[in-house]
Amino acid sequence: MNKDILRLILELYTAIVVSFLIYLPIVLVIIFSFNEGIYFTFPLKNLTAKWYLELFKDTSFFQAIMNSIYVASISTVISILVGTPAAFSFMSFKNNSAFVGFVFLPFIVPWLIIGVSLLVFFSLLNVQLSLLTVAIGHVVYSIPLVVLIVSTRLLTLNPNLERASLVLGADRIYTFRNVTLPLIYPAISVAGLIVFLWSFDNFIITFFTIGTDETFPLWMWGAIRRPANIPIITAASSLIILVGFVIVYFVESYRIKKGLFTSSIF
Amino acid sequence: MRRLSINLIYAVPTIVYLTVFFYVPVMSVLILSFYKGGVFYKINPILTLENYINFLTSPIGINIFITTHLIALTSFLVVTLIAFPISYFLAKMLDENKALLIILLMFIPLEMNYLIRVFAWRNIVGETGLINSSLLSLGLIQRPIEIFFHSIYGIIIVGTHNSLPYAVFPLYIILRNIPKNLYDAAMDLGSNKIGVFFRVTLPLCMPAIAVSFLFNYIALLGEFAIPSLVGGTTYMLGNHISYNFLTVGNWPYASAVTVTLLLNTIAISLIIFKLFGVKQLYE
Repeated sequence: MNKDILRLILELYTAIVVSFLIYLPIVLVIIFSFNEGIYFTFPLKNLTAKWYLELFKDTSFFQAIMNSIYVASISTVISILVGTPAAFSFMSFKNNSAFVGFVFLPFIVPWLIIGVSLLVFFSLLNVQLSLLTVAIGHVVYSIPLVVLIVSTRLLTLNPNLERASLVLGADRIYTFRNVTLPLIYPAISVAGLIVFLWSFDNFIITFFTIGTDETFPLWMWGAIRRPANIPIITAASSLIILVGFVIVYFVESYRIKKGLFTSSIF
Repeated sequence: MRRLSINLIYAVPTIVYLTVFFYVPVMSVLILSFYKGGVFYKINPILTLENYINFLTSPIGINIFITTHLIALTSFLVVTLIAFPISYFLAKMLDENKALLIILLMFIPLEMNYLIRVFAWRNIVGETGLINSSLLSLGLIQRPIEIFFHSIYGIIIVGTHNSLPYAVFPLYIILRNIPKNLYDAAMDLGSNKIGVFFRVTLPLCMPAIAVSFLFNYIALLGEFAIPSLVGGTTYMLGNHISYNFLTVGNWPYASAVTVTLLLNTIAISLIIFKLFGVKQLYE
């Protein structure tokens, strides 16, 4: 009896925290994107789709989205290519604190440090800041992310599978391509998707390493301070929230299905 | 030994990349921090400790440093207190599939939309934000409630929102894996429920709390978007660094603040890793 009451209280508590602290702000953004008034105040004025129509006329928004996709694609490809092999080394060096520290320090420090260091570095070398320098900055953070996700998968692999292949006469390259790679492929694809989403969304590293172009977060940052822009940002945010929710839901469900979720918090 | 060095070859691209685009840039910030600076991007290659002394001994510098740590600490405590009952509920009272679904639902909004969420909170909190204006128009309050202003409170609310799943998830993993026998044993040996919590549950949860500490605390130390959008006049380390790099243009001084933040971060992480053996979580 006592236990049932405790359970009920905790159930309610969890529901309230998740809905109010995590979901309410997002739901409000979507609701107010259809509001005719500029500010977030109840009661709603008239329902309208005009902010969306105005948004669709705004070419800078679409350009920003395209730039974000461009940066995220480059970051994903580079960090997978560079980071995946390192996950294999990590297996032998996971107790070597120098190696672990070296690879994971960029993952632990605040993003701001990656951003300003690259700002200083590029300006000392007279490198023109651009979308490419943004992607270079994102990869610094996403390499450790890839190493972490892929090596967590490697840790759970049965080494006998590789041994069996070698004993049966396959060479190392054949074994890698036909045994190891198919086994870790889900982890690599999850790592790639997560890097893509993270890079698309990153603001702080981007802020310091970008030139004259805008990514989506930079577009928001530029528009956010003028009250007149609130409705258009709200409409743009709602679109991103809905599309993002669907994508992230599928990515994460895939990750849970493949048993890649419980083993790593990233 | 030979086998080990072969294994290191796979890490060469990563080591090269991180050296060129992380460690060398950090080193250049470190060197710059000892140069004499001035406004408008003036840099004199004269070695000096002036920048560190200016930051660490000026009342403004100390104030920013302490404010930032206090905000991060408060936010960490709030998020841990909110997270614990949720993790307990998910780990002990739900089956695994349902619990994972709820955790998934908590993570989904956080993997995208960072600025969107800060933007949303910017319109919800604040003197004229949604909460205060709704309560006012409903007649529930006479004047706006200060806890919902754009201020330190705003930063703590958004910080909590951002790091809640990162606090819930590690705690959930640990709580789920504590064998029930352990509680029974403690009870048999004469402990009461409160005793069990403080002497069995809490010590076992420390690695999880350490992970959430890293996420929440360190992320806030370098934050500048949250304070400038929902913090009102609150000025944190991140604001100080970005202001001095981009607006004032005193790069050597800004570099000294950055290096201080970096050393601060490394020191905190090392202490946490040593004290709580965060590794246990993954093994």
